[in-house]
Order: sequence, then structure tokens, then C-alpha cells
Amino acid sequence: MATSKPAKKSATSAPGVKLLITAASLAATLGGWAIISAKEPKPTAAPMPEQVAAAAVTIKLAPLPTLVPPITPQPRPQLVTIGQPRPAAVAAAPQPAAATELVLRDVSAPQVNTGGGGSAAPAPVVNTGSSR
Amino acid sequence: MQRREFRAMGSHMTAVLDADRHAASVQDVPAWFEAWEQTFSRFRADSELNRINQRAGQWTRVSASLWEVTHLALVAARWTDGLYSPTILNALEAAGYDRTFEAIIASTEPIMPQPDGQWRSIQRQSLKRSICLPPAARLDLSGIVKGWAADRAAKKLGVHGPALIDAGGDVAVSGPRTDGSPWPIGVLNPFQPDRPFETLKIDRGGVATSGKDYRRWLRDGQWQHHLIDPRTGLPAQTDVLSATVIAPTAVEAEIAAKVIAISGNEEGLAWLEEQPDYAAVIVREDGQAVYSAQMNQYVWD
Repeated sequence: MATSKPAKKSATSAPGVKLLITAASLAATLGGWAIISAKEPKPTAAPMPEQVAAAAVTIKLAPLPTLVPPITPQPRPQLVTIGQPRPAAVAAAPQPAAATELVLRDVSAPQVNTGGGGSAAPAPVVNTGSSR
Repeated sequence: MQRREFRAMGSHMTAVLDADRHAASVQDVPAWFEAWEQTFSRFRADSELNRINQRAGQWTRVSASLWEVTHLALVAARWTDGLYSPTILNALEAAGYDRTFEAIIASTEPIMPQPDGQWRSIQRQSLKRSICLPPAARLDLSGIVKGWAADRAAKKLGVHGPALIDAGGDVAVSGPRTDGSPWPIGVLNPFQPDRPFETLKIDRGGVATSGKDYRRWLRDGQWQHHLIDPRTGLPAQTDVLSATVIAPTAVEAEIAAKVIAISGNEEGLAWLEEQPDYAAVIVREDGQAVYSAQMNQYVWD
């Protein structure tokens, strides 16, 4: 069975149409570039990060007292060594703050007063010692 | 003033009531301790503690007392970052304390160190009041139970008047004496046993002493003691002979005293000074007694 082929376009009109389309595309592209370039801001030197940071810090903060304590001379922990006298006797002398005080008392030597405590101390009701 | 002395938990106990009436209540105190010993003793085969230890790896429902003390022990272990541990029993037995203190005999066997941190793996279900020990772990609450018992007994006895309980050196008071004065409590001198070198005035809370001057024994030619350092699994080797701590409760004082004895004078004292409302006097091996900053207010002049 014979089939009919579609009619071919005219061979003489094709080059003209192609040329027209190409020209139009080129013109549109160039024109678009021109418009975009015109709208862009003038190029300037890119700022360095440090410059940005410097511009942002405009408020001067007072130093945080909790983070930057004033430097003051601290008294060194004082070591007080005493023999048989009780710590209370040392307390009568001028001392730095109690938190920095370390009171020592030698208890290894035989003691005459074995009751513990000063003369006003009553007899202990019980004693505490390593569990026994 | 009424007084009752007795033995329990392998230690000498004293109950004092500063009142003329309610004599019977003082006589009840030994029975309280007997019940607690039956719960917490590691030397009684049928104690509740041993029943739990035999069921390590399984969930076990426990009594209210054991639940409470186990909870306290785990809180104390976290508080001290493991310097106090309720799971040092294996290390304690390896060091030779595998029977009552009175029955310990000298041995030449070397000690196998057993560092401990098993308490971190203890599981609890509060709704069922159940505990599950990690496999091979065993609970030992002897380092905390006397302080707990002293606090508990002082509170119970204190209903009838000002009360003091001395549980083998861990002392709790219910409040000031009837005349408003504090209780005088002696601090025994480890260099002169049974003789106090200081008298403290205590009107509330507790005071406890921990040291290596009494519960010690010979093992492999060296003196050992019951204060195990969980970091090494061996008896602690420090410059502290004994540490006495005053704290809001006897159980806190007991734990704090152990921490000082295990960590040493300098480190222990620094740790204690960070704890509010605590005071301590430490007797070093060189014979010097060291007083914490707040101790002066408790020393009887």
C-alpha cells in the first residue's frame, strides 16, 4: 500500500530563518549583559576581615569584675607550729584570715594533761577514735 | 542522765539520754543495733547483705533500711568521686580482712591489688525497691552503716530528750543537752590509745574518726589496714594516721573522715575546706595534729 510522505519545506527559506534566529539570540544575550553590567555597583576593594571586625566594635565595655579581678597581694598561708599549748592559745595572737591558717600541734609526745581540752573543758561524755 | 553501753557491729557502742525519765528507751537501743547488724553484717551468713551479694547479677527486693543505706552509699561514692566505695569488699578481703577483726591472723601471702569502680554499675528500681549488683560485685556497707545507725538511733532516742549515740567512734547528737550546753566529745590520741588529746563541743550533727591506728594487721611482712584506696585496690598509704571530722550528720562525718585518711593530709584538708559546715582535725604520722579553718569554734577552750 502506497503511503504519502509529508511535504518538504521549501529549501530556499531555511537559511534565512536560521540566520534571523541566530542574530536575534545574539542580540538578546549582548543586550542582557549590557543591562546587568549597568545595574551592578562599581567594584570596590574587598574589605579585610579585620577591618569589618574593627568597624563592628563601637562600644567600649568595662572589664568584667568576675573575670578580671583586681590584682592585690595575697597573704601567704601561715604555718604555725606549736607544742603542748593548745591552738586556742595561738588564736590570741594577731593572725591572718582563718581560712589561710594552718595550726599544728604535736600530739606524739606523752601529755601530762590527758583529759583533752583546756582547764575549763568538762570530761568527755564519749570519745571518738578509729572504729573500735 | 542515762547511759547504756554495749557491743554491736564489731564495735563498742554507747547510748546516752539527757533526761531522768524514759529509762526504758535507752535500754531499747541495743535491740535497734541488733536488727541493723542482722541486715548489714558481712560476717553473718544469713544477713540480708549476704543474700544480695549471693544474688549478684539478679534483681533482689530489699528492706527499707538496706535500700536507704545503699542509696546513701551511692550518693557518697559520687560525692567523693569514688574515694568512698561500697564495693571494695573483694579488695578488703584480699588485704586480709576476710573475717571479723578479732579473728584476723598474720599471713605471709602477698596481696593481689583489686582496684574498684563496680559501684557505678549497680542498678536500682525504686518502685520495686530492688537492687541488681553487677556480676562478681559484692556490697560492703560497713564503711557507712555505723554513721547511719548513729544518726538514726539519735533521732529515735531524741524523741525522749537530748540524745547522743556513739557507734564505735561515729557519734551523733540529737541537739544540745537539757541545759542548752553542747556535748563534750573527746578525740582519742592515736599515739596514746584511749586518751583524748582534744575535747570538742558538739550541739548538733555528728563527728566521726577514721584512721589506720587501730584496725590493722600484718600481711606479707607489712602492716595493713581497713582503709582501702579504691584507685589502687590496696590499703591507702598516706601521711594521715587518723582524721576526725565534724559534719551536719554522723554519716557525712564518717565518709569525710575516710576521704581524708585515704587522700592524705594536704589533699584531704583542701577537699574538706570546700565542704560547707565541715571541720576537721587530722593527726599525721609525724605526730602533728592539723586543724581545719573552722575547727576552732568546736574546740573546748
